[in-house]
Amino acid sequence: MRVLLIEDDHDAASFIVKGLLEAGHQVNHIADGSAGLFNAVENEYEVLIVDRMLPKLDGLTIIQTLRASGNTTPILILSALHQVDERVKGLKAGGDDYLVKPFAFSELMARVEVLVRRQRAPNEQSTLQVGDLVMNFLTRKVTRSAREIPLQNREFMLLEYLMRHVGQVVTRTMLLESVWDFHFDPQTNVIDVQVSRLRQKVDKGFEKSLIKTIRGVGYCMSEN
Amino acid sequence: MFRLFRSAAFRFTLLYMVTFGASVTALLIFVYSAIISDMEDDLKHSIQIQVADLKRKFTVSGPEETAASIKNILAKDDDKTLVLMFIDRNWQVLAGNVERWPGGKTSIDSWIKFPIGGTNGVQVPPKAIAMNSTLPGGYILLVGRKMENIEHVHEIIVEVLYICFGIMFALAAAGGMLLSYTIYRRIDLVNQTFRKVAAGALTTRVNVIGTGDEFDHLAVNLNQTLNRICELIDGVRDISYNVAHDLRTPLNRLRNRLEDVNSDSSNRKVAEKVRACLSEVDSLVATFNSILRIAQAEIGAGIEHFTEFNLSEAIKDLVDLYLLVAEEKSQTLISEIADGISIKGDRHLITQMAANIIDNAIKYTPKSGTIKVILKDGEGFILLQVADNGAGIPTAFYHRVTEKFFRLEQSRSSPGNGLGLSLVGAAVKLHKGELSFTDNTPGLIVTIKLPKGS
Repeated sequence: MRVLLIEDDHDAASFIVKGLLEAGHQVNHIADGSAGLFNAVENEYEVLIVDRMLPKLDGLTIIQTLRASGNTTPILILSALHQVDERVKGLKAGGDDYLVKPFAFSELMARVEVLVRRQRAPNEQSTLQVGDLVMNFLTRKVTRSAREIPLQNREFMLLEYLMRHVGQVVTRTMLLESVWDFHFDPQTNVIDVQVSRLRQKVDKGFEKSLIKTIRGVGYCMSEN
Repeated sequence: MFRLFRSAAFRFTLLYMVTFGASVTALLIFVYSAIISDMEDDLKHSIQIQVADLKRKFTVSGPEETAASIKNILAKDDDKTLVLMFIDRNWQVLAGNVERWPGGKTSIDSWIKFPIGGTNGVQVPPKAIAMNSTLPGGYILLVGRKMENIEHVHEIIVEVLYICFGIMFALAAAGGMLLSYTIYRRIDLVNQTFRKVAAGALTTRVNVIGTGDEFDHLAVNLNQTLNRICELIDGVRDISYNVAHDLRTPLNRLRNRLEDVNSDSSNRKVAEKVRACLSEVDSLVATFNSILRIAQAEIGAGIEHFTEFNLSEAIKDLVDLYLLVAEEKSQTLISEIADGISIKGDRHLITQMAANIIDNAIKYTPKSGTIKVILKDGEGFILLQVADNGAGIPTAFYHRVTEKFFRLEQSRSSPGNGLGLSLVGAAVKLHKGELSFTDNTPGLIVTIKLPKGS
């Protein structure tokens, strides 16, 4: 995928560029705001990674300008500003996700991939299927190998999120934000406990386990 | 009522009434005595003229003529206001309308006042004022006037005085209240503004009316003070932002490089050590974030971003999230959450606050303990309570646990940064709530009361 990174901190930028290249993506890095905006308008990208504070032109202004001109490329905002209202400002300006520095590269990668995938496939199906696991939104029933798996509401939402992002790594923070809409650092491993409970229901007794733990990063649902 | 007496407006009114009343009373007394003494002077003057007339008559024509003249004068006195008496050395009355000598020693031209009876049984006998003079040959002449007029005027003036007192009292009360109200209104304007500022609406300013008076000066000065305070707060906030940015950037680089080392290294031992370093960096960042968040809440920032949200749902979700964590520790997490409680506030901060308390309860309650979360609609407030039956906190430390980085000795070994309850304290304060701790014998009950309107 083609990624544009607008980031003035060269150290951080080279780290992101290196990571993205290693993951097999094409990256273009621009260090200042106005050149970045110009480049984003001139070229086609699948995702933009924009720093919040930039020389010459502020990150939020870039995003607002792009959105005002009808550009719908998904945008991930990077910021050293942690406050919740800053996050809200970023998303209101037209950003699709907000990642606070410092972050793990895996977190960045997971979020970027989710953004790109969301852009590619709008979800309008009434069922989701991963291997022999089927989720039906009309009946709100989940079956595996035709055997029904009873799930509570939040477990259903958690599983739905994992199934929608099949093959992608999702981090604990992403789950807490997307499934529970909580934006704080839990001191306890709340997400791990939730996922392991879900895994017991979905994978226990089956030969193949669908929910995989990605060490130090998060989880991934996949068939193989 | 007690508050009324203590209010400055009331005291101003009272002071105004006393001052106003005293000045009006002094004025009325002055007018009264001036009128009375003026009338007396008039009487005395006419008496003196008559005395001089009669003395001349006596000297020129002798006692008999004088007596005749007196009789003549009395006969012509239609108003019956004259008082006359003419006696010889043997106290024989030669002429006059006074039945008996009024008493008092006789001397040369002295003034006497005496009651004069016989006016149809009036309760208070009318008074007369007279001059008695000793004439040659032992004759005594008494010339006077009844003071009926003066007494009548006196009565009128007293009556007027009472009416005046009444009017004065009403006027003084009205004037005092008007004056006090005018002052009170201006001061209350300042008070209202400062209450809002104290509540966190830092941009509120005192209204300068434009009269250019002392109150306007006061308003301008107070506003300048508020501006200065805001500048300082902004300064602190800017510093927080800058520190956040400037510390995050190197932390970011550090984290990036560590990750880089990790991905480059095939050495398992190195990878393990780097992973430990990464988790240190992450906990450093978490502490850092907590401090910033507490600072933000303490400053009162974000109060303008308060939104109405369903607290019942948020707490249910939290309990739902922590239920499994408690089960892992074989603990029982019970909840009694009333439906449909909504609150206006910072949703993220309030959920973080509740999460911190539940998290603590689970952390400091031993296996197979019980944790109970209650959310209910109290009278005038929303009550959030988390009770556990763990080790609890010694009562002596209740007031210290919200201090930043305060940790009990017994909890030093467990993970945490000593900021959890500080954040709870700051969040409760920001929402104008109350935080209290009570002993659950054993265990701890954390109670948060949040005002419904906040």
